Amino acid sequence: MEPIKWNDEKIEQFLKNLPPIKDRQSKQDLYLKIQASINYKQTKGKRSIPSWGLPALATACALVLFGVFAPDLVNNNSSNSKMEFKRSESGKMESQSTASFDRAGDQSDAKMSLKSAEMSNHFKYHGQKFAKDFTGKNMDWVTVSYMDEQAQIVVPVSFITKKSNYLEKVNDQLVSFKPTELGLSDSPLNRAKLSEEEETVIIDWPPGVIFESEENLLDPMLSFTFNNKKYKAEFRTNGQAGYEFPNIGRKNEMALSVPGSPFYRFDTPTTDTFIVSLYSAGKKANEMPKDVKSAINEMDDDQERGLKPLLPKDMELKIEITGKHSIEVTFPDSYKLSEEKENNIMMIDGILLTAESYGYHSVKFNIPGTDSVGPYQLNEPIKDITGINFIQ
Amino acid sequence: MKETFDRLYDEYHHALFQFLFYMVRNRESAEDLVQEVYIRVLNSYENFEGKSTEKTWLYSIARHVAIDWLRKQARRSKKFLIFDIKESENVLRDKDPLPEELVAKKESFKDLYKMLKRCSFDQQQVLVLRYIQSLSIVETAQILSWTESKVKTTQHRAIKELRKWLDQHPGLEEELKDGTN
Repeated sequence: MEPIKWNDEKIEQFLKNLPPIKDRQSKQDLYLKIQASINYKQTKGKRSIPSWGLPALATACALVLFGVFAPDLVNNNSSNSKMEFKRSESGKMESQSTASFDRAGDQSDAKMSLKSAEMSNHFKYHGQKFAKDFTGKNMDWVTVSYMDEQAQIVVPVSFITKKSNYLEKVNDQLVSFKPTELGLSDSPLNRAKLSEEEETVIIDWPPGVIFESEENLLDPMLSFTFNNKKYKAEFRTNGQAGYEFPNIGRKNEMALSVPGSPFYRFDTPTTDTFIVSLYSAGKKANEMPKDVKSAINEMDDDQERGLKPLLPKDMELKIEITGKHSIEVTFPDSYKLSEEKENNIMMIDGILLTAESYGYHSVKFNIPGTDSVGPYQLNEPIKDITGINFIQ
Repeated sequence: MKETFDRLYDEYHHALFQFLFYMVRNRESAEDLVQEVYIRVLNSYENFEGKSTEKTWLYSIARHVAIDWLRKQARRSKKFLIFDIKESENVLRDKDPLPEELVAKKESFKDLYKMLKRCSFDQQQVLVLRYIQSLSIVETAQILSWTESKVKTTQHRAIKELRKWLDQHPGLEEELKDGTN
């Protein structure tokens, strides 16, 4: 049979004529299921605790705790506890750390704190690094942008690498990193041949490999990936100048720059958590807050495309410009840090990234009653932070 | 409650089920999800403020139920990736059979159904609401909490994207047999 020749009208017509799919449940069955479910939830919510309930509950808890700790008390030298930390106390990222405990008490405490951490910390946050972490070592870093599964958000991800040419580092990560494991999609750069000429990165795609959804985010995707070293991207198609994009048509080059923008939290379906800028969500440079003060104060707003605020709602921060490249951020006296350590680190990281995007490389934080948050000492300005969303 | 359920069922059930099916592409899941939609609707019906029409309110609840389900599926796929690679292959490969209503249709419909899944989630939502559900631009915009112009743009791009996919993959019949039958 001859394959159909598709056009827009035909697609619309076929979509309208896709067959209706019937629910095989009868109306009565469906109602009974719904009623049972609603009743069950209501009964569960309203069930009162009988007079003997609390003592019984306390006894049960004691038995459970005894069950958890008893083996350790009996056999306190038997094993090392393998603990996966997201950050060590010094703030350095560690993928795995094996800690041994001599005393049963320590072991129990460790287990308890690990359990409570697991209970409350259901996400994996990928943070930033200090530039000094790389100084004097044969280590470097690179940032490559990916997209979320729905191609709505660009997520820049930084990697620790060996010292090497920038493009080589990008290529290496494109080959080795599997973004789908973190709930992200492959990068359109995976389909390209990359080369460079002075300050220009040359991106050579076969024709027709860039989709509309990707095209919309090409600007932030390339800028976040190459803006550290390159100022321009040049497009080619199988070696010939220019690339035919689905919407904008033929384009030969693109200037690369990342505008100042507030940063937000973005969670992927794998419960990995990233910090991304509003620019990552397809907003244009002229839609961004005009200065760093407005940008930071917008960080408590919800945004489209699943971006969540990094600051508590309606929190008024006092932001002062203290130098050409430095600001001071003062939290209200009533402010209390979140009990979730990672949330506090993300908030600081978000403000640092926002400030950095407006050209402020040094930020002094004044948080009442707090002199450190995660790896950050707050008694002096924080500066020289590098990368974003580091993956080990 | 029964009276409200009866009225909503008679008026909207078929459309809601269709919407859920085309979003999740699995009949059994759509049957579970439609229950969840009614549970949420009936639990909050008294608080419905009438800021939108009842119809768009129901659709937006159904949409959220579908999104929650899709997120859970994605998490499950991730777990399978860690523990059981073979199972993950099945999950990720759209193993759901074609609905019998579609099996009897021409290959072109099956191609279109298959390619619909390759559109972005936003594009799929718009295509389902606008064409399969025959909702207006205004209604679609209300359900998605978007501007009308964003609906129009997404619709336009979705059709173009779909056309590109269909043109690029003329021989889908075999792929469908492998993956979805």
